[in-house]
Amino acid sequence: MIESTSTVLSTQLGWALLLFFGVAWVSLGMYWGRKAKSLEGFMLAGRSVGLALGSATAMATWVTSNTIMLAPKFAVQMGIWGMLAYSTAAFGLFLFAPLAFRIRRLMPAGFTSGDFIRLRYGQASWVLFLLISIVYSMAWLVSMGMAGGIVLEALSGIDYRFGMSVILLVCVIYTLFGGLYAVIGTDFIQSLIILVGVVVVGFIVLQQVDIGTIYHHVADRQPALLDVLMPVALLSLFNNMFFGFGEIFHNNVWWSRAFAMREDVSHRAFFFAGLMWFPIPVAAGFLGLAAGPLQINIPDPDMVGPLVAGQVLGEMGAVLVFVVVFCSLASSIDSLLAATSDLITEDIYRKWWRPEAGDESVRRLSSRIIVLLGVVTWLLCLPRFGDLIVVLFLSGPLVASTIWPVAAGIYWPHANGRGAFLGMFCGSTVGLWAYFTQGWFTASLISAAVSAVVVVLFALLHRGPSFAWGELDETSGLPESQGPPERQGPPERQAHATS
Amino acid sequence: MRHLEHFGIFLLLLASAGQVSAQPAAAEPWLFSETLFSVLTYGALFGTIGGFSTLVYMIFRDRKDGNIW
Repeated sequence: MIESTSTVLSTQLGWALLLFFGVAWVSLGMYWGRKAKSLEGFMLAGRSVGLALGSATAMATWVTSNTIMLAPKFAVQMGIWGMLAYSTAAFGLFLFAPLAFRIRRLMPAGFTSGDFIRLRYGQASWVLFLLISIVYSMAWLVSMGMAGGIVLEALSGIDYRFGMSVILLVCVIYTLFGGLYAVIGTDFIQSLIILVGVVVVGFIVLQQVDIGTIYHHVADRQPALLDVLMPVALLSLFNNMFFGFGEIFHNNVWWSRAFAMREDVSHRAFFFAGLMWFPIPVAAGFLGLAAGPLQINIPDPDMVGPLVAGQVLGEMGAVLVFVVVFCSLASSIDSLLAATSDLITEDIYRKWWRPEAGDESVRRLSSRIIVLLGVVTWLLCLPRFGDLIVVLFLSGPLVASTIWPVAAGIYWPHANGRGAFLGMFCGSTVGLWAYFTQGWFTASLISAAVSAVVVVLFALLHRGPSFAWGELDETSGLPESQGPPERQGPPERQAHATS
Repeated sequence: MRHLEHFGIFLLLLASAGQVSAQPAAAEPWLFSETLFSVLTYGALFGTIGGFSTLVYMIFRDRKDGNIW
């Protein structure tokens, strides 16, 4: 058995890599961030992002440290279905592609997903939606901050607190100075590095052990991992798929990208991102199954991918994994910082607290919120509590309850505020109950099903007027000179709830 | 409306498939074949190479057309 408790990378090399990439991301972010001269430039990269950068940013944001670490863990625990279970999160990107196109058309001046819920369903649903969205975003941020500290410590011996702190600090700095321009620009470079890293690690592992050996080793020792009808794996596959739908449909990370891309690009970019993302968890998951025949002792399932790469490829492999994980973390943390800050400044500050606030004051607050989010995430990551999957999947039932309110709200004029509110409330409540009593692999499925029944039932029983789609375009009542790019304050239009 | 119906049917079919498949397995386990495992693994690795090539091609095309930002 290969011992996997000692680090495969020296601490000095780990620090050197951390500093090199930290300086690179901050410099590149500040360079691209020079374009962010207006509030709209800072928050939405001028609404003119092209296909290459649009596809790359959607793909890179979706490749998180969880993809690199949980996909191999899924394979170790649930076999081939486990590898595929993580990949089903790509379907969220595919399904969001037509939604992004319609969102861009219905809301040419939209800023956040909260804007949509407020205009479409009214205040009660908006408040609940914001709560769910912010809780989920914080859970995602914390899970990645923790993952960063854990991986860096396991690979190079850098203390968990220092590694986690440096990663968060780097992301906060370049997001602060460059806004979405910096986020999307760095995402492109990071996505190329991630793709190269995954392929190189995969092929080098295949040089050490062939597919047949891995298959027969698993078939002899753990045949359940190859079972086509493994119940938990199948449930987790569908649960993960619905969790992915919920994550993408509701979160402002994806909506801000839909608003940032050119109208003719948004749907294609999300579709390409899904295609590019789909194979990554399978390639990463394969490392988990290779651990057995390579006789690598895995003390912590969360670390199986990095440990296999590090042990098989030696120092070069460890450097590669280190860089890929750093890129995965940075590409997601920066996106979350920017999108969550937009949600808080635009929805809570501008739309609720200070409706008279101008662009300059919103921009200043947005920067402060980015710093505040970084500090809160850092404080929550410090105790290093729990299993990664607990942090990630606890928010599953919450976000799954938003699938139907969002999808029906975009396409179905009879969907209404009361149904949306109760759908999210009942779905989240029953989903959380399922999480604690039935298992994490059922929670998102049950939440989405309950929410669907409620939303559809209320829409079918709806007797009032249908929703007028024009209500979603906040510039439609303004003179041309007050169009979307240079808004000075919120429009006077009241939120329209069809309930 | 038509899109929503199709979307709803799609989701319900997926959920039903999950529930039905999650019934207790038969005594003789039905295993994935080695060929399928190979196809999945190599497919994922070559698919990732395809993703990289597509991104590089797209950025050069966008740059040529002046459509990067």
